[in-house]
Amino acid sequence: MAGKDLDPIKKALKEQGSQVFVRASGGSYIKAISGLVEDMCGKEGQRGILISTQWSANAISRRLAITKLPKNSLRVIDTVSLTMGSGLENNDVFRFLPTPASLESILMEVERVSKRGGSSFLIVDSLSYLIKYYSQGQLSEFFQYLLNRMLEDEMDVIIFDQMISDPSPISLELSSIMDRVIDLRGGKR
Amino acid sequence: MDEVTGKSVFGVEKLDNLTLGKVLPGSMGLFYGPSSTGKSSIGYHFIFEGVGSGQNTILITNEPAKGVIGKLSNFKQFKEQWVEEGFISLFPIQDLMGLVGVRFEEAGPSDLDLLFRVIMRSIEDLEVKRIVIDPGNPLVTLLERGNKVFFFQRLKEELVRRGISLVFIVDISTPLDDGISRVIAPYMFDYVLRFNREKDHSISMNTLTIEKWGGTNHPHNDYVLDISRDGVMMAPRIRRLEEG
Repeated sequence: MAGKDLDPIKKALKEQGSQVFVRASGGSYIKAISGLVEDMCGKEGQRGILISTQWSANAISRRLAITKLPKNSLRVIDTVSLTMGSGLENNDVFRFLPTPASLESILMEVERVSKRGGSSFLIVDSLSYLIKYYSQGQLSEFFQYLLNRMLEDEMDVIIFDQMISDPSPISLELSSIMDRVIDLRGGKR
Repeated sequence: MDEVTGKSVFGVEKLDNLTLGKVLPGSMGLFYGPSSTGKSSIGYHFIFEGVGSGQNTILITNEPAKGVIGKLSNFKQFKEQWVEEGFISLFPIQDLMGLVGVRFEEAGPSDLDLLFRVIMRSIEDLEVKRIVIDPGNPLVTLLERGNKVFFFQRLKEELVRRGISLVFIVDISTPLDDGISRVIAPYMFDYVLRFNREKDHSISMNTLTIEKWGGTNHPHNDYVLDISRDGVMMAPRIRRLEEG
């Protein structure tokens, strides 16, 4: 991960319980997520949760080099793999939910993991995929609860929005209520 | 949290937070909804929390003790010694009717008065502070048979006098507002929780609605329940737009 891309995100996460909205696309998007996980879990020794709505367990394992991360440092709520027909069972890293998972089941998994304690961050990857399955009203309610809930536990929240065109209404709504909005798309827009 | 003991009320974190621990001694709550929707699970946790804070409890059921212990054992919080040591007393309704001296099917209005006295006597002897009646359907049948519309008012007076909290659980598929029962109605209870089963994206989920709390109409927000060996968890129900 190029440090200059990760720097603004890390800077925005300085205070505990920060909520950051990241707009990214293409290579910057993949690098930002993998770099962030590697940095927070690997270098800083934090524990966290990743809600994955677009990459399967195998893809995440490869992209995030999960085997190289400290044990139990990352819990992935995966709503993709089961839909692809992968015969996977829940394990120490992955919790598998079918797609489209009910948003409540995602919340319940977040509750379950955070109840165990020790988690300091939550990454949502990504808003753009959630938009395919849920209405703005549903996502608004979902994120309102999630952001409040994470704030209670002083967990950092990083929501990624993989943008290729104009921001969606929910993207605009979230960017207006979160602490910081970081745009990694550079001059590609 | 219980305002008196400082302990949580139901042992279901979100529910305890939502209700701000307003389940006071002497309160009477109603859980209703279709079977297998989480009513008993929360009722059991209500019992567990009572025992955890040193209270004696009674669970009035319609099945033998062995079966009930099996169900209680589904939760890791439960300790079988609680039953052995008398913290949880299990009373099958048929056994209570046996103490009255009649068979359930043959009980009449006068037997209900005796049954009431048997229950009150047991409460007194065991120094009980929490009661769960699950399911309350057999009792409702008896009350309807005897046209005992004032049973719950009388029960409530006794609960207040003795500082006992009671949860009454009924398997029922339709809203109580429809007036389907002559002997139970929301106004008789301090709080009313409605349970249901809903489908979303072909996933079946158990939901809970707080219909009434402490004499006020609650906002009627819905919550989804997740019941596992670890206990009961809740998350807000997120409705599709077309659901309103």
